[in-house]
Amino acid sequence: MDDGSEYSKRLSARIEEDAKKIFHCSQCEFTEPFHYKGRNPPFKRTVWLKEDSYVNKDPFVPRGEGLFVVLGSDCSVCDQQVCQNPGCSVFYERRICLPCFKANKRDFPEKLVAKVASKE
Amino acid sequence: MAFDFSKYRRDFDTAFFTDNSAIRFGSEEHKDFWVFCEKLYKLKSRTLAGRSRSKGDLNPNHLVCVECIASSSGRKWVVEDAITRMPFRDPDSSKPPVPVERLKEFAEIIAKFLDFMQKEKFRKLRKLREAQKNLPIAEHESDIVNYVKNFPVVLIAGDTGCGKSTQVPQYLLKAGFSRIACTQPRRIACISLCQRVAYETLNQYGDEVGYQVRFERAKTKATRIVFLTEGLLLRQIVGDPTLTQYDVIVLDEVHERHLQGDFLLGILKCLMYKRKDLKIVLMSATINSEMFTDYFFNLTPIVQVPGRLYPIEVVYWPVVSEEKAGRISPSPYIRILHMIDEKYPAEERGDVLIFLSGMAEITAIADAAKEYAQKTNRWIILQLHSSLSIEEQDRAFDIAPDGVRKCVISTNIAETSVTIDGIRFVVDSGKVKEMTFDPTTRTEKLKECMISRASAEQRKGRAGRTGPGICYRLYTREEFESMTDFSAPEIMRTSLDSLVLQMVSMGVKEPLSFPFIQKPDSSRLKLAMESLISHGAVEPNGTVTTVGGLLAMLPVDIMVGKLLINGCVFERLDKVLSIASVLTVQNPLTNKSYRDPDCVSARKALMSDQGDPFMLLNMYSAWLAEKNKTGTGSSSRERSSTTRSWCKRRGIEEQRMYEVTKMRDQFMQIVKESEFLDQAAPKQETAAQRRIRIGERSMLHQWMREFKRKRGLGGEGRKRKVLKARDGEVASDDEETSGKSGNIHEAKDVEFRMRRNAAEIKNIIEHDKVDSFQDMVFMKAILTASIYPQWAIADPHNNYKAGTEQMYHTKDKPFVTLHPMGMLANNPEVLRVGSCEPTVAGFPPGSQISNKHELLLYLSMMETTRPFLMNTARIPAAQSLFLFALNTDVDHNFSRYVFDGWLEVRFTNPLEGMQLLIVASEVRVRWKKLLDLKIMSAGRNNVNRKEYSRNEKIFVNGLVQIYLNDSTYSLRRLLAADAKTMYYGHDGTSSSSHLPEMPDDLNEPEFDSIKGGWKLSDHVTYDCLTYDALSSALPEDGLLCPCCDDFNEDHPYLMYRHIEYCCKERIDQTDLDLGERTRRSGSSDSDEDGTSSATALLRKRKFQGGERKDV
Ligand SMILES: [Zn+2]
Ligand SMILES: [Zn+2]
Repeated sequence: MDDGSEYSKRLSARIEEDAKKIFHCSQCEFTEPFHYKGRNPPFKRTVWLKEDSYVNKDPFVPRGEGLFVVLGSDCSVCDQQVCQNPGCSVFYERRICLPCFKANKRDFPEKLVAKVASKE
Repeated sequence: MAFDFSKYRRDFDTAFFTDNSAIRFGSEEHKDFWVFCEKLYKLKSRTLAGRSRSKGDLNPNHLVCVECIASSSGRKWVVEDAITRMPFRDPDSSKPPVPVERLKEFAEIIAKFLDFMQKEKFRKLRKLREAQKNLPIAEHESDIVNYVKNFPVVLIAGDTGCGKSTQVPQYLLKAGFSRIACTQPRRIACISLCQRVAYETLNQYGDEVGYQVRFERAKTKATRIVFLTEGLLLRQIVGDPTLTQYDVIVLDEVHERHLQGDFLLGILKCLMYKRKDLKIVLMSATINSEMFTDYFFNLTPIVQVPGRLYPIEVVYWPVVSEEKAGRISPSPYIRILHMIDEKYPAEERGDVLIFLSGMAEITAIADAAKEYAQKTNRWIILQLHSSLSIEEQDRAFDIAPDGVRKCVISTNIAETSVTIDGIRFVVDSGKVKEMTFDPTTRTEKLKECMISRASAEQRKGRAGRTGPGICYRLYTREEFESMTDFSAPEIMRTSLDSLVLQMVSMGVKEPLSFPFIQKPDSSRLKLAMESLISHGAVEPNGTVTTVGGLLAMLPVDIMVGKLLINGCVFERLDKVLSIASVLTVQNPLTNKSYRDPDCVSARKALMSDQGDPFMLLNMYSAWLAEKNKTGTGSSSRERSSTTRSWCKRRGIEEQRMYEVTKMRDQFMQIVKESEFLDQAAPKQETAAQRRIRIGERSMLHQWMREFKRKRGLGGEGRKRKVLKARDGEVASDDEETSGKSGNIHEAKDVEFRMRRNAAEIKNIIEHDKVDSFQDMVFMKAILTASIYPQWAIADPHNNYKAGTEQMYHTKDKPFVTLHPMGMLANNPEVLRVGSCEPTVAGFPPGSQISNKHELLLYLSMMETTRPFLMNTARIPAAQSLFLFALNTDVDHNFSRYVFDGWLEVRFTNPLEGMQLLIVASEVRVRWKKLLDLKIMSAGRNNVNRKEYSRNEKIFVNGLVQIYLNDSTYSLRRLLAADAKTMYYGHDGTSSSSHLPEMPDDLNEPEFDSIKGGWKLSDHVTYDCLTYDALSSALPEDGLLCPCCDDFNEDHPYLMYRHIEYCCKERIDQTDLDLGERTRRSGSSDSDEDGTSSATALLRKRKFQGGERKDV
């Protein structure tokens, strides 16, 4: 990128700082440090997410590829951290943890409710 | 109708994918995207005619935001951006331009894809974490961390598969420890564990997890865990005795009890007192864990982690007696295969693993099993042993197709080192071939013996890894119970030379008092010390010599180490690297190579009558030349098949040649790393040459990547393939050549070319030639010096006829033969002693008098059914003895010499013996001097050139003069009985109780009270041999100096001192450079080296030219 080295320095400092943070799913105990929380991961500026998410650099490909993996986000109802696992949360416009989803079924399309129920 | 985007792939690529876009153009992801797109299209055209969502209606289930995938200039409606980049299309073109709705639809597919990828990646990560959590060791995580925090030593006893090797380092890392070293006995495990742990800690592409093994390292300042071999950690201790670079040392697989692991344990035990902050974690199998806690004074907490095994039924099925005799009988094994066929339906999966003792047994059983497989079509027979190539070994891990079982026939390599999944039946022969080393005769013995109970249990366990299994033991329950508990640890079986050298050089004064976990026999330690002394690595008083210090740092065995050092000193490194490599790699000749007359005649040009090392060197050079012949013009397939058939015709295993190449590179690297070599700067290449070389390399790299991708090699590890059954055998390589991806031989060829370009090969070939006399002299001298004292003398009754066996005697072992696969064993005629004269009076009866006596150098002695000498080479007898023997004992007249107490040489002319002794002594002094000069300057690159070349000149001249010597003498082996009466002994009944007085002699020889003679130098004892009936008298008219022709003296000792002076001058002043006689300096500059003034008085006339010999 042409934003210059100052930028990348700041970036790596921030990534470093973020790395100390730990993501912990309230539903399944999945625990993982994360590199970034937000909508536009600094290691992949061209992708925007619909909500603030906990993001890791993709550990399965070389760093230069700039790929990432979303771990999860905060439940839009109870604000607890919840992971992407279908058994833990649903994404429909925004993330909602399964207990909250169940409590608010009527706010969601029937199809989705049925789909989630069928998976259980 | 669904719209087929792939028809417009180029347009969409241009519009949507750049270097910065969400999916980078040309990346793996980009490729995957189009596959995804295609699948989606097929799905759509199948499921619906029009159920497409209304345009612009974004899927609320997608987390990734399509409408604003940012462009490089900022947040932007992605379709807008795409429109501007959509290539302009000619309205007349057959394809109409893409409507904007399609662009939106495409953007949505991108979002769908990215969303899908996110879910996939997350699932992968989560699966990994779950698998880790499910490992047996996982529930002990907090215990382990707490113990390590609170105790200096912790033992984790866990069976294979409990996850200790991969998880414990991660627990420590998570708990905040860093600077963690994990040792492994095997180098390959270091690399694979590093990869695995890096993967699991999501550090695959970072450098927090690293490894360091011989020849390779992946470690930076950021590295927190490093996996390294036991040997490497030991060498680090040499430079960093308290291991300040680490906070935690994890020793894995300590129960395997390798030599270096045992040594490390002892060192760490000592280190505990010096470094109270150091944490030691021992990891072993559960079998003998008490031994380690005992060793650390029972203060060590243990974490016991049972492995996860399914129940295994044990069936004792002893081999009936008539099948026991002689060669291994396949029938019990075939019976079991047959029984499995009868008893278990083919649909029930489950493979067979057979444990046998060695390669010959494996081949025998595999042949019979293949025959059986051919009949039944229900088996695939695979072999697994360490001499297979990696690719061949990999096959054992592939999967058998439905209805077919795989039967892996293996050595004990499958016991602990490798794990094969899907095994349900284990067949255990109960045997293992073990290499033991007998230090008294320096013989390696390969013996078949019963395994230990621990091994038997380990073998059994292999049946229960994926489900319940059965273990057939081909021995009785009583036999099982009578087995020893554990196999003998390495320290009880192998040569301790390297270990003791390492100990001594690390300052362990008394190896006997070292806190070994299990002490080796004191006699073994003592013999190792003696061997080190004879190798010149340790002084008789126990201090390490300069060479010894260097040897201790080199990660090779002592003989190879000496070869490399000597090669450096005499600036013949290229040849020596090749020789050391061909001698280290297994014999490249196939079994038929000597039996098939076509092979023999095809190989004729590569023969050297000097012995195996020289023949192997020729062979390697010729193979390299063949590789070079087929240049870059031809395809890699042509190239690889050319050299392959070249090898086949000559009965050479090409694989070994590739191994030699690798080994040579490794040795080269060792030399470089040791900084011992002051290397000449590499030749400058021109820009054009460089371009060609780089272009060539990148082409080769490309080929290799493609090859690996297609074969599923590399990356996260090789994917298991489904085997093809065909007559019970696996499709051979020849059939694979039809595939586009290229075959393994090509891959080897390409790999070879990546290591070497044509110019380098040419350079090696050029340097590897041993065609001049001087080359041969040097190579023999270097070889002999490095391999001493492993030489053998021929039995006087040998007939040297083709097809018969020749007997040889070593110092400690009489009557051994040459290994039948050796070059000299197959051409015994060349071993006949040339120019023999009939026995003369004054010589032992039956002895031959010749100037062509030879000894045989051998690299190792191996005992299988009988002891054999391996890798032998001819060396001139008296010359080698005078130059290299550790002890030279001389009689009163300088006519009879005994070397190292067992080889006797009698000269027809005592003066010639005297002369040889003097020149050889001088050469030995210079040799040592050159070595010191080189070693002192090591790494500083500033050898004192002037001093070096002055010494070198004298050395070379002397050496050549010695090898040209053609004195006639007899040679015989002394027996123990002779040795008893050989010396005068301390009571001084010597022929003369005093040496004649030398005027002004400052360093009068010391009296050796044990032998009863005078020490002329550190290796020569004069006048200690008793007169025997045969001792020749001196000529009646006295002795005449052969150098100056006019010095005459009655007393041999005075004569010796005169010649010493005369001869020294002669070698100093003559330029004996063979072939080209260069300048001869008239003036003498030789008075520097302390030739005593006493001899100066004896000097009558300076030697002035007129050499005796034509050179
Ligand atoms: Zn969860
Ligand atoms: Zn919630």
